[in-house]
Amino acid sequence: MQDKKLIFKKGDYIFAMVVVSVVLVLFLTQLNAKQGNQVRVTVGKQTETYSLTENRRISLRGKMDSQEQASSDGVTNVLVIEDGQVYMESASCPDQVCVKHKPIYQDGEMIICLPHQVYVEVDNDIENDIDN
Amino acid sequence: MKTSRIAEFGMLLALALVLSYLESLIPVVIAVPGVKLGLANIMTILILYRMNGRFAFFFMTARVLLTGFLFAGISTILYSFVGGLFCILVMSVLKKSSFFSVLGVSMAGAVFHNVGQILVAILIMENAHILYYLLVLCVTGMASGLAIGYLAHLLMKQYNKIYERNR
Ligand SMILES: [Zn+2]
Repeated sequence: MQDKKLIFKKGDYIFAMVVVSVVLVLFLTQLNAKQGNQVRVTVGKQTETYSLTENRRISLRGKMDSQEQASSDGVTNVLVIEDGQVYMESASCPDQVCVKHKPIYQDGEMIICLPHQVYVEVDNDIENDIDN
Repeated sequence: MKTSRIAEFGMLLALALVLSYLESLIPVVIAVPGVKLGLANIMTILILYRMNGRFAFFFMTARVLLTGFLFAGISTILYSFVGGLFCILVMSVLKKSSFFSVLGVSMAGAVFHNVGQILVAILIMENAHILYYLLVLCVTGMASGLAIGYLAHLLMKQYNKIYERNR
């Protein structure tokens, strides 16, 4: 079995190391994330902000495929704010990635629905930062 | 373009479509958009190594359009195309230098595929915060790129053998 010889070359290692170190550095700068207190919801190019402390259910009308339009009332995603957490309760997107995402609550966390161009981000507003 | 080459191109394209379909059957385990194995990229790598970057570009374009219309949904075509473009550009450049094996070429291709997709998302949503998603996508891209590169390596050995025999 001379097949056992590694096929890795020098460049492979260098590439892997560069990517890993870039990711590590960026990850470390993200580590000091804290509990957020508001939710920024962007649909297309419009952004709306909600408080994270108020429980509510929000119907969103995102962008749809031509096949999708005929079968629904324009609501593409239903977002729920509950007990200081946000999650996507339901969505009509084909991949359902946003629905499967775990609830988010930390500053900077986000749920994205690419097919519908819906973007949900937890955030910490500035006035709160100054108080601390 | 030789007839045998057209036939080979068509066969690999059909195989790539089958692989894309198979992959669409696998349930999404990690809930991050853009995280996927990219099985069809095995065929793109095969085209790149047996033909050249230009063929790989045509191959990717045909594959993205066909999978977009057949199962992935039309809204994904732009993301996939820009991702594929980045992927092929990087792969053909790295392939030219003898510094990288097929594993490195495939890893870089997968990572830059994700970079391309994120750039489109940033442009469409006008939101630079998505950049942080890139961290996750870089790591998963490396892992899947490594796996795909190894599969392509195994396949290529057999493929070239069979191809030489039937010449
Ligand atoms: Zn979704």
